Amino acid sequence: MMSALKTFWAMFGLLLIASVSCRAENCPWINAATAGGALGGTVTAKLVHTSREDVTCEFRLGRGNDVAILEIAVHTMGSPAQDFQSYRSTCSSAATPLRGIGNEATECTSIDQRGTTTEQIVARVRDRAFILKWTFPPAGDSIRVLSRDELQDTIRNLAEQVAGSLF
Amino acid sequence: MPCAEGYWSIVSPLALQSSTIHKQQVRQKVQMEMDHNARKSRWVVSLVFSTAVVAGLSFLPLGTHAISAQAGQQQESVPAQPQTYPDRRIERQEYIQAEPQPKTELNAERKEYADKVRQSYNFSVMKGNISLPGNAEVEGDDFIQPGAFPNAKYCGHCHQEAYHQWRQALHSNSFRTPFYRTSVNIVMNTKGIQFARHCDSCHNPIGVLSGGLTQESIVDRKFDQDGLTCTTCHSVQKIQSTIGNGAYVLGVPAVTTDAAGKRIPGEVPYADILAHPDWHARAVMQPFYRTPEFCAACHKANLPTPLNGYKWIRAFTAYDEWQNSKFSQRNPLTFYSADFTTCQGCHMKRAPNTLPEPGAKNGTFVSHRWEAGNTAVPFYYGFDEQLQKTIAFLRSGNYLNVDIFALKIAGQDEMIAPLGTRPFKLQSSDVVQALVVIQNKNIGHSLIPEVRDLYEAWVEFMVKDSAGKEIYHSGFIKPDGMLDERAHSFTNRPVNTDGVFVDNHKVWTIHSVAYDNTVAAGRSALVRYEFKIPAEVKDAVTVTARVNYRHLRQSYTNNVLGKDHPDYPIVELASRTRTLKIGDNLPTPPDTGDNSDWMRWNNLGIGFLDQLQYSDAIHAFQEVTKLRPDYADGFTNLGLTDIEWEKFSDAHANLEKALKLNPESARALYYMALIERRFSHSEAEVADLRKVVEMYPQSRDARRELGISYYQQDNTKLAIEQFEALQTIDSDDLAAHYNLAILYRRAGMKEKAKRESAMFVTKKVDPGAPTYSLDFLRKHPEISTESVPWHLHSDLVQESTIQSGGQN
Repeated sequence: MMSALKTFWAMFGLLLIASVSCRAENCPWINAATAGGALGGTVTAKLVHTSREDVTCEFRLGRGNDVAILEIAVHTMGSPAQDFQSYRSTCSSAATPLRGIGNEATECTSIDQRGTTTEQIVARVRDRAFILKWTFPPAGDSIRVLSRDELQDTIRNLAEQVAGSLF
Repeated sequence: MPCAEGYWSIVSPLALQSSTIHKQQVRQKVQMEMDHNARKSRWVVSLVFSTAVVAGLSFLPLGTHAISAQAGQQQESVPAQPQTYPDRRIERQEYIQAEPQPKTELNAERKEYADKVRQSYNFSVMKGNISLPGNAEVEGDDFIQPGAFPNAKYCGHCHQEAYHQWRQALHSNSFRTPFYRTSVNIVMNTKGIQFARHCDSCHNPIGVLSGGLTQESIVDRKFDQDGLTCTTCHSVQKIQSTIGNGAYVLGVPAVTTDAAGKRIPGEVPYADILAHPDWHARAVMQPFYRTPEFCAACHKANLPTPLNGYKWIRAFTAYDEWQNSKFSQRNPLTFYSADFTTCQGCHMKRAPNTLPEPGAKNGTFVSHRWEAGNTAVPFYYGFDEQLQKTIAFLRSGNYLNVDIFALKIAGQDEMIAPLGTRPFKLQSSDVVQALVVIQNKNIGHSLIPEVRDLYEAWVEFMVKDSAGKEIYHSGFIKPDGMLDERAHSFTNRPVNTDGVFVDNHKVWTIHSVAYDNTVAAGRSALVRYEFKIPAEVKDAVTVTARVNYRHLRQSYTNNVLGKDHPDYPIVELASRTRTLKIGDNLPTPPDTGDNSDWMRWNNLGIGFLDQLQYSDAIHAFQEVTKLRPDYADGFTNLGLTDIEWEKFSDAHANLEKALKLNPESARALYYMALIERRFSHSEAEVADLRKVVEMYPQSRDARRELGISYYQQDNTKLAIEQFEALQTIDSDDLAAHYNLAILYRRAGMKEKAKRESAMFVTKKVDPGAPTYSLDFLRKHPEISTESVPWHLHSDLVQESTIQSGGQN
């Protein structure tokens, strides 16, 4: 009887540990519903801890080549004045400075040879930089088609939320 | 606004009541008569109540004599009446109020949504309550889809001026601004996101009511950028009471109704609105939107026990400050009078609209900028138009008066006052004390209101020689952007249990307030500066006193943005400069903005009174009566000071003079009632207070005192009526809770008594709290003198005074 009880508690403990450790971790910067709202459907999410404090979140919508991706990479900078320059340099010279997102922010667009568009905002909140990338193919059945204005409104709103989480 | 981009001006003066150093603030809060009662009153109720409050007893003392309803002795009661506004104060109602939707079943879409949210919602604060520790409610009492709220762009399609203004105003940025997010993130990251419902009930109602503030949120937060959007305020159907913390009840948002007046939820085609603009108006407007009570839903806040795990603490209450101001015309005890003005009267003034606006009337539209003191937010977002209008607002309105009132020259007994009215002589090497009076003249709330731990207003005082060389400077900004710590600032210092200033607005850690030097509406602060005229100065010096304002303390802005941010605006609110010649000074004509001499003396008297310097206050008010022998309030002020000084016979004589000049002076009658009580003239006391209540049915002080008077007459029924009326005016009044607990119990209403007892215990002061304040002041000698009502700002070291230890 005692042994059965011990086994029960051992199993219960293992189950508890498993349930806790298997519980999906949420992106600390924005939730999946918000990412899904921007991309236009239910998204899958992936988190990567790049350091003890920093997390990169990736939200995907679609399949195969017909995929839109929203990636938020947050980095803690040892020397913000210098380090942020290198993050900002990932935007081309056509970057647009933005006001009202973190301490400072810029936005830029790039289109590769296959027609894949990447809308990107690089911003800083105190000593943390984040890069918000929205990548989507030229067109596709499962991809939400946005006008340029809608795209900018949406990604800036998302960047504002990421910055808000970092404040 | 609770918990805001800088919020919480914790005002818990009762917590400090046992400390004499805080008596000034205590008096401002509880009004004169409470102090009076707190002293030696021999009547049971006031003594028991006062003792309980002063000592912070943790139990309910029982009265010493039985009280029963005495039907035979009942007098005609004066029930509390809802505030009625004279016709001239009401705009013509051009719509019929829509009927709120009856509480019916949720529609299928909302029910499905609510059921889904509920599955993972963290109800840890209170099972079933979606907004605690905030008070927000929505019709149907369940989660509502964010999509049920038509967004601001939908409204802005037609209401272009409103949209344009709102987008730059603090209300639209109530959530997203970094100054708020930094604060609320700390709540979320340390206590849990569910506790942010307390703040977001006002800062992000859609976030709260949609169930977005939970760990496993399934809510798309795209609405965050709009904060208080059009359809949050314009969906409010009811104000729960004036308890604040988001004490509104939203209807399901609707922008039109059917012909019968039933609200039609959600967006409708613009053509439908244009076809029936009256239906649109009755869906989105309510008469109470024009009342201060509407603003009170959020511009009054407390820290409830579920948030701080400690006890109920008043956070701020701009609403009560307004109600106690001259602008409400509800308080007979104000020093001055004014036309009735609501919050909206100052912060939503009509102005010509430049963009199309169907809500405009005769080319003007009520401001949806809510110009106030919010300069940091438009500065951050680059909303220059909003920033300039805010600065213009702060400098308009004759809100403050700065008066370099008097000089005292060391070695001379006589005070040179009021400056400008009489000749005097000044010499090189004189040590001069300047008395500066700052009058909160036309602000309908305190200077500064609400989030006093973050907002910053202070006196900058400068003395320069004729070449512009600085002789003395207090209230300067240091190279790192921080304010001179010895400046006289109109601020407070909330502290935690370690006696440490709560720098980052962690309001739930606040247990006490080390000091609160804000100036209540209509009152005046007396600030003293001492400087020495250098021996080499032979011609003249200029003396300037100005009140500066910065939206947020530098250390808080540093917390939010790091230290590498640009300089945030500092706005001069008011100033006065005088030139003092070395040698003979003749009288000079007043400046345009100067108060008349009797008012200058009156303000000085108020300043002395608030600093407990009764003899000086009497002298100042006597000067008022000399200059204005027809001015009844001059004698009332003398009477009031006498009461404070416990010279009751003198008070009686002065109040009689006041009543002879103006027999209908509610203010004089009120204080006379207190004297009558002192003299055991119970019937006269009640008669006077009844007159005051008839003239001012919403006077909390008169209701409170009349309740006490009836209590003392063993008239339970009428006493209960008064205290219940008092609770409709101020639901947090401690005296009402305390006395009702006793009265209900004696009347056999045990449940009600139990509730009032509980409320009293919850809201009464923690007697241990002042120890944290003293701990803080001990650690900070550089500013500890700010907690002393009488203090002097000086760079001169007075070794002899220090060494004497006050013994010679």
